[in-house]
Formats: sequence, structure tokens, C-alpha cells
Amino acid sequence: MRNLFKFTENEKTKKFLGAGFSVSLAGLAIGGLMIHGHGELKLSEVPLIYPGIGFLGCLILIYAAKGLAVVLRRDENYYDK
Amino acid sequence: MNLFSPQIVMFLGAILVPLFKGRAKKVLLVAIPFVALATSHLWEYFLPEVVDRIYLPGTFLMSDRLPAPVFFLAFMIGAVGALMFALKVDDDLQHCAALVYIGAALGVITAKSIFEFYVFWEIMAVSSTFLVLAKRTKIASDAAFRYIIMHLFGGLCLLAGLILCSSDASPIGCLVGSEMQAYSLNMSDPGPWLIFIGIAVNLGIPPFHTWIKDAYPEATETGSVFLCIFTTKSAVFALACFFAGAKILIFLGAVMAIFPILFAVLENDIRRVLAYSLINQVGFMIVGIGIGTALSLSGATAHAFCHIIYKSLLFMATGSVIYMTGKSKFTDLGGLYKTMPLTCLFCIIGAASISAFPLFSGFVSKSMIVSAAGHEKYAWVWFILQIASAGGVVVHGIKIPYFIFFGKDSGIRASDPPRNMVFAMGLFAALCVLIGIFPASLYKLLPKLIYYNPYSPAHIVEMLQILGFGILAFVILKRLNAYPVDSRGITLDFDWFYIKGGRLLHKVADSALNSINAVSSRVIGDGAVSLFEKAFKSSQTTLLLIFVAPYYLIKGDNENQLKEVKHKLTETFEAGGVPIGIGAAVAVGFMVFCIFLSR
Repeated sequence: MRNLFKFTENEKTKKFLGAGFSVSLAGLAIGGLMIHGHGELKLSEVPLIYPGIGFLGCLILIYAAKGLAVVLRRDENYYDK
Repeated sequence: MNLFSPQIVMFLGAILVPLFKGRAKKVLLVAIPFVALATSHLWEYFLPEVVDRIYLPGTFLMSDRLPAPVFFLAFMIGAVGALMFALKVDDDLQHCAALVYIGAALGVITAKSIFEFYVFWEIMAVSSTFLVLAKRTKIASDAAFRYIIMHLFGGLCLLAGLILCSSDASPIGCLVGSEMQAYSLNMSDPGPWLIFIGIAVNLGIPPFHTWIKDAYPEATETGSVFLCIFTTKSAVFALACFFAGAKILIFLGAVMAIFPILFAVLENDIRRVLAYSLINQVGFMIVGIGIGTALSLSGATAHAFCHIIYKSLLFMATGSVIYMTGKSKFTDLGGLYKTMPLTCLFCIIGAASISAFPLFSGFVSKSMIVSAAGHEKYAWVWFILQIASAGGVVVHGIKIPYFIFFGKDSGIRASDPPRNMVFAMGLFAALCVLIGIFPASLYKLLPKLIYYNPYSPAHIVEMLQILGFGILAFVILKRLNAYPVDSRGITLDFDWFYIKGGRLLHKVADSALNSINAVSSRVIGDGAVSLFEKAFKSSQTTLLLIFVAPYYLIKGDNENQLKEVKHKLTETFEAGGVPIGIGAAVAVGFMVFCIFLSR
């Protein structure tokens, strides 16, 4: 069967996708400032709250996981010892 | 229970399957769920004229809050897909266990009494254990043992709670005669709490969640697909029947939505990541049940429906990878898009659905729960669920497809799995997309008549912002080599307390009980028993002497002659040389003596 994802091997395509992704993010951030939400919560009305949750939320979770690893990460045979 | 009920069809199927071979067996496996569906009269519930979908007498037992038919339909879809996926498995144990498991899960959600509910609940626990055992490895059998121990504990709690909550004096009578009803959790009443713990075990509410990440990755490639569908979702149904609106569930659900992400980030086993993400998704459903409004309960139902489909799809995709490559660690995989393009495509669709990308199924269901939290002004819950959504995209949205199919090239050139597996994945991938594009088709099935539009411009932009900037965080961390993936090892979870605690308990019990044993052996074995032995050994002679001594004294024997008589009698008794009549007389005398003492 033809490889559906062959396009990911092309450097030009990769760069194009990367640029498209960056532009989309910028568009989303600006668009979010212009579109009014449902106004259910004051928190949801804070400007750039959703990009903040997406970006900082992920960073915080990943670094929290790395911190957790220091305490909880063990060898694969830990329970067999 | 009707003799031609869907669960009975499943059980009969489990009996019939080993009797067939080859193509006939495959036809039977595919036909069984359709026969079960035909016996269910499910279509009656979904007829357009049925406006009040809260209760349909004679068809299903319905709680007044959540729909068994929607769960039933989701279970049937899951059963068809999973059986299709496992069609070429040449192991009757797996087929039989799976069919009994499906039947029991259907029994749980269609039970007409608490007794039926409990019996099917336990059958579900036992039958699913065989799907783990079927892997036939030491690790799998250990995991299966821990799995069944955990579920037996949960089952006992549930039984105790159901009995305590009944007003009937007879334990069996109370179960047979009682219908499922809602309970409230208050500190003064242990019954509902015990029911809650029983259900919490199956839901994987912390600290009972460890069986999910322990057993699912050790089950067979096809077995884990069945496992991810039925146990937790039937528990979601039970929770909604018994405890909808209990506010503690909001807190527990929020915790469940966020903490598994931390563990999933660190995990190297692909199916263990899915197991943690399953806990995360069930957390959303529990929040929905806890909020208890029409929107949140419908959201929990819809999310359970969608979750069954996209989670099965992800377990199928990862199962296919393990089936074709024999590898289950991220560190051993990568670059498989070159030779497994269809599996890769289906996995991406599953990942997009679970991450709640617009146009995929997770988006139309998860957003109902998050919106319900906003409507009810639970700002902190709303915030945690949004963070969990963002974390989710990094863990199950990107990590699974990226590190298996892209990332570094592992050099493995395995092809897509057999056609039946591809077909099953294709079917579920299509459903994920269809539900995402046409959410009204799902909303129509829900019991509460609600109006909800997930595709408002604000909502689409908000979700895309969360997902897009989450992906950006992943890309930056990956570029900086700061994303933790290349580490072999395990992360200690709550099961540390069970495993280490169990070993400590064994050690303490071993040393304490063996000390008691040694003391008992010295005091009783060496002391008291030998004393009793001596006493009973000489008692017959002593008794006889008491009887015969007066005769020799009257006869005029002196002390030495008496000693000689005593010695002879003792020797004769110990040698067994006493005539039977004398022995019997002594025995009777001894009994009379004992009776006299006892008075």
C-alpha cells in the first residue's frame, strides 16, 4: 500500500507545515481576543487564558512529572528485588 | 430475567464457540452480538415517538437519571468491534472469557434487581481476569492475581453495602426484591459508602486505580480492547444510578482527570500510557455525574459512549503494533508510519478524538462536561478540566502516535495487521469522525432532552487555542530534549503500598505467628501433651488398682506383695495382655468415673 505519510519526509513540506502551524497559532491567539466567550465564568474571560492554559499547563504538568520522577522513578526490576 | 435476553445469548455463545472450527467459528463470533442485539428490543427505545426516554417498562431497568439503552448501544458497538478485532485469535479461552465478560457487562446495565446487578458484577470481574491470564506469562498471571484480589475486595464492599442499605431482614431477600435506587453519602450511614467503595474500585478512583495500569498492559493484545470497554463504563453507569449529584464526586473526578497525566508523561509502556489516560477520561465522566445537572449527566453519558469507541480504537492500534512487532515500549519503537500507514492513520484519529479536536468525537462530548462545570460556577473544576485537556493532548494526543509511528526510526519494518484488525479499526475511526461531524446523532440518543451546540465559534477557538499551544509546548520541549521519554524503568504508584505493604504484612505475620507457633510447640507439644500422655497411659492401671486393691488388702498381702501386683498389672496393660472382658470392664468403669466427675 502507498505510504500515506511519505510527505512528512520532505524537508520543504516540514518547513511549510511548521510555518503553517505558527501562523495558525498567531491567528488563534488574535482571533481569541476578538471573539467573546460564553461568559459563564470570570476566569474564562481573562485575555489569553486559553493559550495560557494550553502552553503553561503543559509545561507545568511535564515539569511536575519530571519532579515526580526524581522521587518515584525506579529500576524495572524494583519489585522483584 | 428473560431466557432470550442479550446476556444469555452471550453466555450461550461462550458455550458454543469451542464447538466450532475455522470459518464457522468466525461467523459465529460475528453473529453473536447481532443476535444479542436482536433480542434486546433496543430499537423500541430509539423510536421517534418515544419522547420520554427516562423509563421504558419491560425493556430495561432505568434509573431516573441515566440511560441504560445508550450504554447498551455503546457496549454492543464495542463488542462488535472488539470481536471483529479478535476474530483470528486461535484461543478459545480468550473468546469464551470475552463473551461471558460482555454478557455480564450487559447484565449489569440491564439488571432488574440488585441481586442480578451484583451477580453480573462478580461474573464480570472473574471473566475479565481470564483475559489477563490468557497472555500466559508470569508477569500476566501476577497482574491477574492482583486484579482479581482488588475486584473481589470491591465486590465484597458492594455486597455488604447493598445488604446494609436494604430494609429487608434477609440478605438474599433484600437483594432479590430491591431495585436500583439513588443513595446519598452521609457520614452516619456506612451502607452507601460501602457501595461507593465497591463501585470506586471498578472506576479506578484513587487509591483503587492501580489495577487499571497494572492489568491492562499485561493482557493479550485483543484482551485489552475488551477490558477498556466494559468494566469502567459499567461502573460509570452504576455510579450514575446510585450517586448522581454527590458533590464529593466532583473533587474525586477532578483529581482523576489531572494526576494520571503526570504518570503517563513518564511511562515507557504504550498500553500503560493508555491505561493512565483511561483514568483521566473516566475522571471527566465522574465530574459530570457529580455535578448532577441535565447537561453534565448527558455529557457523562455521551463521553462514556465516545470514550468506548476512541479508547477501543487506540487499544486496537497499539495492540496491532504489539501484535506485529512484539514490542511494547516507546524506547523500542519509532518510524512505523513507513510500513504501518493504516494503523498510523487510525491511531492519529483515535488520538485526535481523545484529545477533543474539533470534528472528532471527544470534542462533542467532553465539552459538555466542561461547559456544565462553567454553567454551575465551579471555576476551579473548570480550570482543572481545561488543564487536564491540555495535558491530555501532550500525553495521549501526541506521545502515542509520535513516538510509535514517527520519532526516531527503530528500524522495525512490520506491516499493517491482518484485514479483520484493520477493518475493526477502520470502523471505529469512521465512527469517531462521524460523531464529531454530526454530534446531533449522538445527542438524540441521550435521555435528557438538551440543546447543546459544541460548534459555536468561541468554543472552537478556545479549544483550538488550548490544543495548539499545548502542542507548541511539546514541540519546544522536544527540541530542547526536555521531554521525558527515553527512560526505562517504572514509576511507583499507589500499588507500592499494596505490594510493599503486603510483603511487610507477610513478614510480620510470618515472624509473629511463627513465634507463637514455637512457644505453643514448647508449652503444649513438649509440656502439656506429654503430661496428658503419661496421665492417660497410667490411668487405666491406676483405675484397675483402685478396684482390685481392696481385694488384696483383705487377702492380707503386705506392701511388697502389693507393689509386685501393681508392677505385673502395669506390664500386662502396656503389653495389651489383658483379657477383653477385663479391658471392657475397666473402660466402663472409666466412663462411669468420667460421668461422675462431670456431674
